[in-house]
Amino acid sequence: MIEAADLGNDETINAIEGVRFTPAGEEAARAVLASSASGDALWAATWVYASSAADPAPLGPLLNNADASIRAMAASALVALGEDSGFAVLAASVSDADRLRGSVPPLAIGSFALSTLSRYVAAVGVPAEPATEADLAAAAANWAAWLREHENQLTFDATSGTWNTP
Amino acid sequence: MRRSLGCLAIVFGLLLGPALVAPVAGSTAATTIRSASYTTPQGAVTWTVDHTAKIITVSVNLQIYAGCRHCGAAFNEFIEGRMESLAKDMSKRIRDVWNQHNHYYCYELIFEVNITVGRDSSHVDGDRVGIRVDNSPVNIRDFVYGLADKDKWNSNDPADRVEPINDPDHPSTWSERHNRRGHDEYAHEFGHVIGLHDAYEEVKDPTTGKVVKSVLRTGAPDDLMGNHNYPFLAQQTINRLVERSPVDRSKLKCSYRVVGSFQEANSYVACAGAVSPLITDTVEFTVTLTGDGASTVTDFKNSKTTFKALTTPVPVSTRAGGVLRVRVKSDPEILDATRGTVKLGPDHDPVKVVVAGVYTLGICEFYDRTGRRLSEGATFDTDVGTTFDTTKFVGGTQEGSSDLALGWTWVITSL
Repeated sequence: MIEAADLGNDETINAIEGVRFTPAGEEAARAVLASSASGDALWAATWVYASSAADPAPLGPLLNNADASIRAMAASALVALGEDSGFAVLAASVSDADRLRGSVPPLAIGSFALSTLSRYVAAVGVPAEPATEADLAAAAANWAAWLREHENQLTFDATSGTWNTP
Repeated sequence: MRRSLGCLAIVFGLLLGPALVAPVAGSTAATTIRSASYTTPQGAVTWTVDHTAKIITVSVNLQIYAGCRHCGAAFNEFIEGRMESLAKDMSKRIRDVWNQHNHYYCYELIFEVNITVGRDSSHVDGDRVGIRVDNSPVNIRDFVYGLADKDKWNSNDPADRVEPINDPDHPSTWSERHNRRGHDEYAHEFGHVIGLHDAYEEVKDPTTGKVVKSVLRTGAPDDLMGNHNYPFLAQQTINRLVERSPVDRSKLKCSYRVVGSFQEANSYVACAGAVSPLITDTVEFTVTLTGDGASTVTDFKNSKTTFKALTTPVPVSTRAGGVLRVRVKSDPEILDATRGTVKLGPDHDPVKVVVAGVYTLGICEFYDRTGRRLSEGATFDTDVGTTFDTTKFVGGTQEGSSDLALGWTWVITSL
């Protein structure tokens, strides 16, 4: 099912929706990530695995994938799981105006990155979440600057699932 | 009947493949319903009309549940601690966007949403639309799963409205984060629940077949259903929503009392050859619009034209050694209206009313000490009218346009 993913064919994606958040779906996605899958199949595997998995290991290599959407999704999941390796990708993505592949309604990669940062970084003084589309550019710049200054100080609180500064 | 159509669509889907299948997810493309266990939640969306208060109330029952229940500490914290507050937040966002004094003709639409927290997709109450809350780090797909034909996005036929369904294998899904782009996704998805399609479409690269961008559909208004950046509803969308709904539109009646006042200073319209410092007239009538597009113009009340004493345009000395004087032999009547027609604009507004009647040119008597002479009177068919907007009443009244006939001003009162 995951191997058959075709983002140009909603049939295939809706079928995959049915296995998200299930142990079977997670295992199937892990298997695809371990294979040489690429393109939409790799996108789908990343999406399904990142939706529910607790093991960050299969996601790490995806941070260097050529597909910016896959990189961003993997980075978001890694940050959510307490892995700071995702921050660099998110920081590099905040200004990316390209569409996050598979997003419905359409979502820019940069918006997704900003959303992830706002969601999982709970430190005092983080940039305000953009209230409107017009605030996105400023928010992207503010987050890039904030991460440059504070990324090395961030620690993960597994209880709350958020990152904080000392 | 609608349920039968839905089942028929599924059968087609199974027999003939996806190309002919009608069921769609509100925000995604046409797809086959793969689960035979789907249900149409009865009573989840109800429409009631208060004809006295002129209010249409749309009541919606939703039930949200967490998408992932085995996803670690952060997710569990979310599940246990935040679902109730999320339900309240969703309700507020939806109400704030939809309850902005939207009207269908003179009826204001009120949207009520009741959200409870449920367990999972297999245990959604029968009278609620189940919504899986995507609490994952990759919550990038929001949609309502329902029965509809996505190509009928701009149809106002009740048969083409989106009908949400509860399918355990294909649950409608909303992301936990609603405001990540300043967008009102909950309000947008709510639009699907109550029957609307997306007003945008995806554009694919013809070579690769991959989606490259999304654009507003041709002819679609740039509002909430076409662009999440715009948290308001265009009149076209509101009209479509109501016209697709189960509401019996023929029973929706909106009446307006229209008063037209004619006034002209130094007027030559009283009778030929004379001028009146001031001439006035009024006409009243009632315009009734019904939700199915019908209209009537009735209850005409024509006042008698009044005018101040007439004179010649300039003083005229007569051979008899006096000044030519004028008096009215037969009164003028600016308008005696007897019938009217109504033409509605593309989204019901503006309402253009044209009333037809007769204008009577009075007969004046010009005289001096030596004799008198009468002007010629006449009658003419005449049209006057005004336009107004059903959604722009302030305190129940509105000034109508005066561009259809010179000299007239109009006040419309919503009855």
